[in-house]
Amino acid sequence: MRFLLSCWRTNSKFRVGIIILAVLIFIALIGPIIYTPLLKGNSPARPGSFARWMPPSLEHPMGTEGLGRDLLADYLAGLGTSLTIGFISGALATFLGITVGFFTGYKGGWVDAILTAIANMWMVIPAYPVLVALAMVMPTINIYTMSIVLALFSWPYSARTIHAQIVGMKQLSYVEMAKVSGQGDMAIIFTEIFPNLIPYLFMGFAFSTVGAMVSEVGLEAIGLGPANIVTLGLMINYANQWTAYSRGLYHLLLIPVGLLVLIFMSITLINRGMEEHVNPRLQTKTEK
Amino acid sequence: MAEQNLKTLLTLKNLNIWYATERGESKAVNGLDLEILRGEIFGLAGESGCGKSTLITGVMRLTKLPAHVQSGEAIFHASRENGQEQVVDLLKLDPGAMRPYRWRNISYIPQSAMNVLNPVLKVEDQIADVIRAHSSMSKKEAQARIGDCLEMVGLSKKVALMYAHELSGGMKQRVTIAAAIVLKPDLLIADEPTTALDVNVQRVILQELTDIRERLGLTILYVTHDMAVHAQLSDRVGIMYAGGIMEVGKTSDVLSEPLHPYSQALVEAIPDIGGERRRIEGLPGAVPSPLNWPPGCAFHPRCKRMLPICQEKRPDLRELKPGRLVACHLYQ
Amino acid sequence: MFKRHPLLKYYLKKIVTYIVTIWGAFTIAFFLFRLMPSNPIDAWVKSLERQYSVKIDRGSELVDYYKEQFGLNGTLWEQYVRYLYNTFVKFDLGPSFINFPTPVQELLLARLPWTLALMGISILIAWVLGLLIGAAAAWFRTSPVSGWLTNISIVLSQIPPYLIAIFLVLFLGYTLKLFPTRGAWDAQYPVGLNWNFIQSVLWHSILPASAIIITSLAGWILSTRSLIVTILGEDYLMYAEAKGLSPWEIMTRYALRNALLPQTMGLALTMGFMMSGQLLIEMLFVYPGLGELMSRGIQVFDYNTMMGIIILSIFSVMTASLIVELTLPVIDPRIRKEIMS
Repeated sequence: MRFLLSCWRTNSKFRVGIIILAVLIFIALIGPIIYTPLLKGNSPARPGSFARWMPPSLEHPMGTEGLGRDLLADYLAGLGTSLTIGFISGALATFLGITVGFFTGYKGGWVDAILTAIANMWMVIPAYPVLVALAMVMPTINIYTMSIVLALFSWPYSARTIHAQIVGMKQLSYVEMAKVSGQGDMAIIFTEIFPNLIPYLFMGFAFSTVGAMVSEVGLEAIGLGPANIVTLGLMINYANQWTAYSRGLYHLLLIPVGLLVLIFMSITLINRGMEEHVNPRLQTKTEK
Repeated sequence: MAEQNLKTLLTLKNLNIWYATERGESKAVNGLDLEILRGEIFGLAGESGCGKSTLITGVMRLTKLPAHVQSGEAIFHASRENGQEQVVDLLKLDPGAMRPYRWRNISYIPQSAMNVLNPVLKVEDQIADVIRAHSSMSKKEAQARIGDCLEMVGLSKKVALMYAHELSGGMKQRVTIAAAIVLKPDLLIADEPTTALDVNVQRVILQELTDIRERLGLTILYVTHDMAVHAQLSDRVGIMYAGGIMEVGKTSDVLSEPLHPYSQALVEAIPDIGGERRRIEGLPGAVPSPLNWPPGCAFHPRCKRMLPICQEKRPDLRELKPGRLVACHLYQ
Repeated sequence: MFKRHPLLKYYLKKIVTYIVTIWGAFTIAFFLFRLMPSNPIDAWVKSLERQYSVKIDRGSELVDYYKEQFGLNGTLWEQYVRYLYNTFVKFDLGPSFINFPTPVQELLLARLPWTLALMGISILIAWVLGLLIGAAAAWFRTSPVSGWLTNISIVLSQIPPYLIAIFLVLFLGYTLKLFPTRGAWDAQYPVGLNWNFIQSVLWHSILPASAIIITSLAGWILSTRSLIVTILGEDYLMYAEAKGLSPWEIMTRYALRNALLPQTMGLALTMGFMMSGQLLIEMLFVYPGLGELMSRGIQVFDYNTMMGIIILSIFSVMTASLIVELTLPVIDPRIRKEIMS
């Protein structure tokens, strides 16, 4: 917490990122309040809820699309689910990564060698095709299973970062001191090492979240996500279905893509801000 | 060395180099006056934090923000190829116009040689590039010169073909000395070049520097906190405190009869050569902060012989007798 | 023997790791696909049933025949050993399903040049530009232009290429109608080494290539900039300046040269990863590369084609990193020293 606060105070990129993300999360949170009355009891993804291709009106502020779905409701719901999938999957991947990275980095030896080898094997398999295949054969996929699947493919990255940090830190004098003074492994990990890793945990989390959302949108955009859950990726898929390009229905495409770009941008700015805070040399303005 | 009629090589007048900090200007070099004569080894002494290194980077025009040269002059008498002397204020030159004077006229031995060599270039390439930049020597001549210089500092010619990581700390430091003398500059600035080395290596390198000076007739500005080194090496010595010069004189004179109360404390603290640094005893209080030097004489809060005027007026650096300057109200 | 030849030990270790990792990744990928509740024959039979409303006997001879053709007979373990043997000993990836009975390796060879050309050239262009722009951004790091460039790169580097591609298609393709948005060449020209065909290929590659270049360029700018900013803070840079070398020489021989090594390694690895193709980009542009082949394979759950592309990708990533690891000690004296000690 203290780390995040000091980032906020010193780094403008971090501030901008947090503000954008907070606004998006806020919109996603109050989304249901806005779209529940609009939908009149229908679920966001249900086709045929309303008349097709209605122009914007008070009842449907952004109109409806070719299967009679309310667009505003879908964008709001999609923003929420996309963020949820990103965060759940990011948290899971970070947790897996930390556990493995910690264990291997601190213990070293054979365990380290074997787990690192497995992580390496896992990393050279192109994740996206496997994800697409998985999505195809899992008809009952929901946002939680989807998050788990996405996390399974991004943990090696945070494991590797944490691993490197731990190996570096193990050699620091204060950790050596703690060892010599006879503290147990757990005590050393939690009192001496963990506090210094916090920035990297946050960065790993942000990185995995973006990674999960990129894959998620990729899957959805080609129509391989669950069709009963509205996400921003699915909205891009709608746009493609209605051949938004050639028909000039640009808003169908620009709104979901724009929202995604905003999400990616905010998380990236937050991540970069934290990185600069830890390593001031990266800063855009190092000198006056 | 002939002591009379030495010509001036470098004159610093009222030099101010400040660091812009969040809490205001930090006056690391504060109204400093200094004169260095051609052919001498001038020793600059002072505790850490007195502004020695800032002064050096200032003279070499390597000051990097937030440090900046606030005001002052650095009049340098550069020798040209036709034997003429060219007088120039180093601080007034454009960054690009400064380049021809670098290494050809002013070269430098860094404080720590550990990381000054480019890890991916051979030693020879890193000395040859400076020859290429500043002289019309052919490649053959350059190689021969590099070999000579390496031998002059007690290294084998083979070192030219080695990479930095293949050299020990002492060898790296010798390489930087060889590089510094390769163009026979007017002024060689040495910034505590032996602090990182062990005592024996240090002694040998100091001897080599003295020999090189005799052979090439260089002028050396040698900076170190270690008074024992100055006793062995320097012809004249300047005592620096709080960003200014407190006392200047022939090394033997200053060591045997220090005038400024600060010099007296420094001289009392001289250990045997290479021995542990001793704390300067009899000096109450800590070195003041450059953000806020004491008014009047910066040394007055720690001075045992303080006069009332010391708190109000900063003493000028005055010539007490020929060649002996001191900035202290006790003598004015 | 290893004690006396640490370099030999290093090389052996890297080669063993190379083989083990390829085998491991191959095994994981194999079981990942086989354990998914589908296979090409079942998927096909189901689609036939749906299409013609007939019931097909799953145990019929015809189905068994095709299962054998695709190596789906026997226990999972037998299938694995057979596939491993065929792949690494006979270099036979089996028949493809989408283009039966063309062997997968032939399909891959036909698609490879397209992916190689599109991705390889785009990545190379992005790398060179990124190196130059990143170096300039580091050198002039106090200027506002550099600051903005960095901020824009930070944002761009994390946006997936297919979103950029969508924008490009939308504005340059459909709205302004400047560039073609589908395929790799115009069908009106004969395929071959004639000027019209080459021109058409280049023209068609502009949009997909730009999508790839824009995002990866941002990444290279950022990494080069931060590498060079770090190098500019090193003692040897200050020393080079004190030596009075020209700014150009300092930039090239001291800063860029030292950044080139890690960046070249990065390039090699990126090149390795490109084999799996930018699936979405190729799909979006209907570009006849490996990514598009993959997407066609996945739709019918064509094991052999999917595995073939994945194996090719694993192999190229690992080979690229092996090359990097084996050449590093040759070109970087520091690493040689580290291995020797």
